[in-house]
Amino acid sequence: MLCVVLIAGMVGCAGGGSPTVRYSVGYGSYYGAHPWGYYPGHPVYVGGGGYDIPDIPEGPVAEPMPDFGMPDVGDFDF
Amino acid sequence: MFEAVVTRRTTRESLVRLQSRPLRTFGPRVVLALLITGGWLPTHAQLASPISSGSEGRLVPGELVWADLVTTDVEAAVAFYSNVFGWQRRDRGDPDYVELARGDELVGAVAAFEDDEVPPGGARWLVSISVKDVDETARQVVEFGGSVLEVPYDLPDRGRLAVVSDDQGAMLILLRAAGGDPLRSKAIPGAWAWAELWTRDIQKAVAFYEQAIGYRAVQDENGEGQPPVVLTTQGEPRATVVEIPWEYVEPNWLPYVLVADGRQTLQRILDSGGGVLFTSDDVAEDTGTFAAIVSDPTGGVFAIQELEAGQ
Repeated sequence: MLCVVLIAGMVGCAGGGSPTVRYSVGYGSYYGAHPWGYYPGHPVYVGGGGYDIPDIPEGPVAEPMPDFGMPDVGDFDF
Repeated sequence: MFEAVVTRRTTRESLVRLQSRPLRTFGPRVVLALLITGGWLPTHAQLASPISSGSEGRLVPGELVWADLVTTDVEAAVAFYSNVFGWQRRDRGDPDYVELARGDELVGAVAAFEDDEVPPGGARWLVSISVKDVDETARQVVEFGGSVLEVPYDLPDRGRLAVVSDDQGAMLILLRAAGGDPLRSKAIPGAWAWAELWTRDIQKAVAFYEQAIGYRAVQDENGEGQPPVVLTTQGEPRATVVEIPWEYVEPNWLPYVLVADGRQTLQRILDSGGGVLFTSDDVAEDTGTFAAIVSDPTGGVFAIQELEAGQ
């Protein structure tokens, strides 16, 4: 087993060409569902404000953005 | 050993054990070199820059010192942040890892996800918190109910780091920066200014961050309305704790970029293919300065905060 690893390392993978070394920064795993549940395929604006939304190109739509609505900011004690 | 360790390192660990068996013909260093150049041993990038220059080893535990965007499309993300904030790219010889700078100062890094199964829009910003001892803090994280997602490791020139999540699932990076933490004075437009911990249970979050990380939580009595909870170290504010008002949002750390004109920046974000989730215009009460929660085209969510008048 060890000899096979050595030979492969010296001559490259079977089929020709050296395998490329893959570096990583170490923190690029997929960590699970996005905390904001936002999957952009198109820019979406959920509030008011009258901003100009650029033309959305035709094509498949990503998952729709959740309705954030107005937060309940609670009562204020004065 | 950490119980919550991600097991995907098993293959690399088994290759390292293979290399350490007694050899008849080749010495272990030769074998290691062959294993690396033959692509059998993935390594962490020899690419990362130090996050500070000239801080002479100064550490500010609890300070948010760095931000990384992990994304499905490095080029699209870099183009977006260059367009919106004028951040310049600093290539390090790897298309899957690009650093971003504002003038002479680095502001963060953009790295590709290593897994292929990330859904579109899955990019996320990870904030790094300075700690004195990454390994001990990671142990504390687990002891108080959090998880270790990437066990502590050394990233050459960056320092020692670990990816963890708190007991409610908010992810962050613990970092002991090589060379020390950046020296910061006032926040300036176009740079990171602040971060908020968005959480479901503020009391629980406070208990966790005080016990596991070493923060002290105080209530900011200045200003109107409900006093916000602020995490502090060494008597200085480091982050605010916010209760999530929407059921769709999970706990997370939200970094803020300070901007000179919030609405102009918002339009630039939309024109550059980003998204807007929420703005302070949508809140009936006068919240003071303009702020918005936004997203880059690859799904990385962050916030912008307008400069207060007189700042």
